[in-house]
Amino acid sequence: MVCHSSGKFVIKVDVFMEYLVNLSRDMTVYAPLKRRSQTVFDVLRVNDIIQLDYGMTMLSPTRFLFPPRETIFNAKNRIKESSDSFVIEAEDISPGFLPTKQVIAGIHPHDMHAVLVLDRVFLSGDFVDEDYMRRRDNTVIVVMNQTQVWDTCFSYSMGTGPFFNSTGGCDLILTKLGDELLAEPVSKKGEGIVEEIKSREATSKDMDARSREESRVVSLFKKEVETDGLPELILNNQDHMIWRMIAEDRCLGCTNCTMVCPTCFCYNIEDENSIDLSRTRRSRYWASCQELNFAKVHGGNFRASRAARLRQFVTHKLSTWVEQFGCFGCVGCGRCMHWCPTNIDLVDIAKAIAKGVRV
Amino acid sequence: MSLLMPRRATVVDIKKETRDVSTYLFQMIDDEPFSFKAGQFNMIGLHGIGEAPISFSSNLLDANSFAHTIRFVGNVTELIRRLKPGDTVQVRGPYGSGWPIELMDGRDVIVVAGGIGMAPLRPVVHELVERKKTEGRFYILYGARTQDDLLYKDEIREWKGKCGVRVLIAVDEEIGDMDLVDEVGVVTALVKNVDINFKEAICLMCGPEIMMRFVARDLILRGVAPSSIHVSLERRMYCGIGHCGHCQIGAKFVCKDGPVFKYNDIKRFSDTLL
Repeated sequence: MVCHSSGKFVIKVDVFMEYLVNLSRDMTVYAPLKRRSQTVFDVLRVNDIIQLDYGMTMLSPTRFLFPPRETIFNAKNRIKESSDSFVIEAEDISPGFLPTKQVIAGIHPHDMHAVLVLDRVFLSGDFVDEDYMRRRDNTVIVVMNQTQVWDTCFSYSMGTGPFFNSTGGCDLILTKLGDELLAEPVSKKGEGIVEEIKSREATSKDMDARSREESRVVSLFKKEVETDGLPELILNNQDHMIWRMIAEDRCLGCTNCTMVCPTCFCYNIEDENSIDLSRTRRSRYWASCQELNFAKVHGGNFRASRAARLRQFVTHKLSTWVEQFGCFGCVGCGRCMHWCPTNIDLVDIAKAIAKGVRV
Repeated sequence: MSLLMPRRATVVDIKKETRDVSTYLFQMIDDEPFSFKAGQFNMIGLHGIGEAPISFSSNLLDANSFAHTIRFVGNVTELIRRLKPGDTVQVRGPYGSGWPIELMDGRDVIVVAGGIGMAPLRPVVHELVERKKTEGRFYILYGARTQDDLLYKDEIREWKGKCGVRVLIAVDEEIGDMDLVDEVGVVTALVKNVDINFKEAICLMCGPEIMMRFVARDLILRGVAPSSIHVSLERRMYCGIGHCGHCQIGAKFVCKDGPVFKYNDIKRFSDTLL
């Protein structure tokens, strides 16, 4: 039985991979690829094999929309000297950003939700981040539903996985069913891709297989968190001793949690000058609320203790983010706790507070 | 064009206020219109060095010009000290909320400042001195380390003479001239000399958070509504537009939701001394 109206199709895995490799000759294609012992989102090259069954990547592909370092402007300078001093002024200033077409293929649903979170941060409200917007507009995103679940993943609790069941923000949603892919285009660009490489229309049997696969993956989750009342719980327990206990016992202040988090958006801005001061580059780069000086001003540091900084991270992700942007700042990917050298776990913190545990 | 791309302004005039504070008169170089509210701020940048958030210390003056009163305490401001008239700075802004000038009509007003905290309040005082005259009672409570450390001493003498404006000054130490000083001690000690209708009054305050905490407590005990106390806060900032994350206090971005907050809106969060 063929569902003519479904708009859903089936693609052969090898056809899809070949399509991306061909595409990579004309534009940058980021895909989950084996690099040494890990799966990493990297630039696809001709001999690469795309990993469709991958688990967690250390870094999320959101970094191709909000890069770790980005030039704001490049300038040629003139040096203005006076009798006792000199200043440098920009003579010729040019924006650093040139948008290029790119594809992010194989992004997991929770990371796609992280993109939607960053959209709210950078595109909603009074100020639009144009560099982010232009990257976003020039990016085709293909979501790959999860086939496996790792220990620290709790995206099911956060409503962001393991399958992408929203329709906004991306172009195509894929579900791996054996050696075929169920392809659900959700944009004109996605429809265009499917039109080129589809092998047949999806049947109700394929849709049933999708449901069964989703149930199978959902059943693999070991980690969960109660999100009802979570923002209030965290906000009402800002003086809880757990912040101090965990921070002082275990937090090394390494900033790993914020570097691997797919929704962390904080940045610093810095100027770099050539040694003869003839050129200046102003760039922004990822910052971390776990850095000692993140909230420092002249005369004081508003989060001088590790406890205050840990509390800021957890409170922001699970509580105040909701008031700011109408969604959680946590998508449940589990990266922060996995890459924490001492496995500090924000879900455990929330659960301990909920239980009224006095550590 | 990215919002992080700065415009440029020329240093038109520099007035030394104290040993480590000067007021700079800037004029935008391009002809694009520029306007702002008292209480907002600019990111003032030095090319090759960086940017710092600094409040306007004047209202809009002729031909796209405005003042910033700057204390030389950081990487950027220490080098601003070296600028001479004719040099240029980078400007992004105006950013942030302003003082609620519209809420002051017909009410008794208390302006409370500590140290450099007088700078963002100066345009409000200018506005009130010009506009209000005797409409409601108007107090300025201003604390500094010594009389020498007071900003705008000439203007304070003028304000003291204007009818309807009562300026009370507290200093920490009895050093040097004392002719402007009413009290040796903290600003809080001046509140007892304030004779207004506290229940209907509005307070605008900027200074060290610990000062604002105690003044707010005192005012609330005397009947001022917490929502009628407006505080201007300082935080580390890189962007000024709610993206870089550094200035967050709970769910608030000081740069775009503030820097002026109603006391009760901001006091509910951690990591302040309020």
